Amino acid sequence: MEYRSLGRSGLKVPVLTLGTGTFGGVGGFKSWGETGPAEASRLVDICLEHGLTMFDSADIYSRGTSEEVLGAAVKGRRDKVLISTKVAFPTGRGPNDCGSSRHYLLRAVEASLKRLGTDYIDLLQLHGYDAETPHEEVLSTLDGLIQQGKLRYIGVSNFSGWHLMRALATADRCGYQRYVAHQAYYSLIGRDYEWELMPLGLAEDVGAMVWSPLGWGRLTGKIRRGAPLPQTSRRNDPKQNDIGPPVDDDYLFKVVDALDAVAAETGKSVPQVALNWLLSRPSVASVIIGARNEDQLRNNLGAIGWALTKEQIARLDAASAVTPAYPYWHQRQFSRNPPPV
Amino acid sequence: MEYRQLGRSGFKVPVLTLGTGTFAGKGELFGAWGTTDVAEATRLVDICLEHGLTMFDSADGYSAGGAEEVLGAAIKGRRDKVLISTKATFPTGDGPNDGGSSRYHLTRAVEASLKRLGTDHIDLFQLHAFDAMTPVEEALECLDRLVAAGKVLYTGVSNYSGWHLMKALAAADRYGYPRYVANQTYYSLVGREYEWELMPLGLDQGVGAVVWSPLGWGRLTGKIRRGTPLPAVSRLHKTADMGPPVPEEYLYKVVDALDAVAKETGKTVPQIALNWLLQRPTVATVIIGARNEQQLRDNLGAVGWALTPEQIATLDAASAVTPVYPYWHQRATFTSRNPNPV
Repeated sequence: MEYRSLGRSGLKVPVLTLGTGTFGGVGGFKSWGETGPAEASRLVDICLEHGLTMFDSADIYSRGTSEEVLGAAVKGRRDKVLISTKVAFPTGRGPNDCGSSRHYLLRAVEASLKRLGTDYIDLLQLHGYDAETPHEEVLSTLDGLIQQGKLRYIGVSNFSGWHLMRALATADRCGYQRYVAHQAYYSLIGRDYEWELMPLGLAEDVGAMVWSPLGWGRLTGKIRRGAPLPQTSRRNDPKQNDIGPPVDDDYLFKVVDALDAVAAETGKSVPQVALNWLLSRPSVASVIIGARNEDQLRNNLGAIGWALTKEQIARLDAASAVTPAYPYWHQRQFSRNPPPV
Repeated sequence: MEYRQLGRSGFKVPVLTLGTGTFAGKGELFGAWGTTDVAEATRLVDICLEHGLTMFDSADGYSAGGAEEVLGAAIKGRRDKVLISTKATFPTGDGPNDGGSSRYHLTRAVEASLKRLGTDHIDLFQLHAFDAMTPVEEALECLDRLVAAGKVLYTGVSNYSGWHLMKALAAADRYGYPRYVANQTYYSLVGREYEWELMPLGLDQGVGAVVWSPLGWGRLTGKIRRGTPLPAVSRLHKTADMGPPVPEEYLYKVVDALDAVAKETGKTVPQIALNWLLQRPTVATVIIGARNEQQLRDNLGAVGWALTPEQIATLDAASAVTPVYPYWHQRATFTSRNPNPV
């Protein structure tokens, strides 16, 4: 396993992280997976055998059950694993049952620690931007939790560029710990990350933890032009389609065609090629893989230990290229602000 | 004429500004925009001032300085009646320091603009693009000195990403430099990306939008619609590739909605497109272009009335698009604590 520094931090993280959205299977998360503690333990075993030591969860995954299953699965080997989780999305109906206020964050972190059966979280990420809580309140709370030893590192997720930049500048001005990770959506069929968030990540040294690297279940190798959607695809759940990234079919098939060609050349599978491509991109620290079973996990673990050639990367880049939105298309006209990729 | 506060400043600007990219007309890009000479420019300024349109926007790059020279000549003897905004940062020569926002280049660029404009001060000076190779503090410190010297009154940026602008604002606050109060940005009924990142930032940080290309790079003139050939005089023939990309079907859908509202209101397509922009949060002023008096008078008819909420909703719906990441995710998951401004 390759390990990379997580943004401007001393923490090394494996380039693959196991996402635990599939753990539990309560409520809307059922179509992601329904992994129980026994199977989760087995998946953790396989991960650790391969040096994949980082596990990402969130308090809202299966209403907390994902964290409970993960906690049970790593029991007795807490010192061998890195745990990342996320808070901020609503866990109740009350006005203070969500967000990044001091009131909520302190409760959310205690609740996650309890469910995970641990006394510290290696990386806590704010799951979404809370425009109603001052940055100073958020950062001072997180800083305090780091001082108490309950958190090791902090990050954000799904922030706009200016949200993250504002938070980083506030941390610098006030002397609080900086966010070192941005858990962001990025895939071969969703390269919007490259426009605003990647240059920011590089300039400010914030590492990307990539979520949905296979484009919300589209780059599994089972979805292609003229082929029916597999019965087990979570894309059969209309609610899942609504909350995931929109992808035009023609664009998807064009990228899958290019992936198929590279897969045939390399002898790797479509998801392995798609994951390996992400690991070649600047600012990416770790890619979060999902697995409903051992097979999927082993297939995803085969995404590393080798590298696409420059020429193969260029072909995937070309097939997935899109015209960026304003102001990014305009910026490509100026030599003193070159795009990172 | 209605005047609005320019961002978090004490400065009032008219809601319409005359863009001077059409002045002079040197080179392929600017020649296609317009070739207005001093006499005609003077006449356009006369009409503007009659209507209370007192702000004129230029850039050192427009016609290689020619636009600033024509503007300077056109306002001669009435500098105190007008507000001048201009821009620098894009290359003005081939040397390594002939562009950018370094102290070296900005100092020289402002002196050159002042000379061409025939004035001793620029009311609003905007950095035309983000220069990733100059520390934001260097540009801010240089502008701070230019403000202290009275050569520049207010500062702004143009074509910045959200994080570029936020980084600069935070640095200004940290070191006590003047903050940018304007973001000159592309925004139109066929280009609403401004709403995703830059509008919430503008609202939160008090940065007013100075809108460029409000008619979508010459597409919302009312002369371009489904099944109609592009008019011979359209600048799109030569410059479409340099401007915002707009899929044809999307354009026609928006034009259909504009046509319907035009019929209801008795206004023209461009007047409606401009009026729509003036109803949007953060917008301080919209830069109109005019190759001749008639276009100017038509554009001036965009103010003094207001679209109804229903008409705005019709235009909003016709021009709606799914935003890119992370904005679609923000709209799907957490609007309770991170609501959209529009």
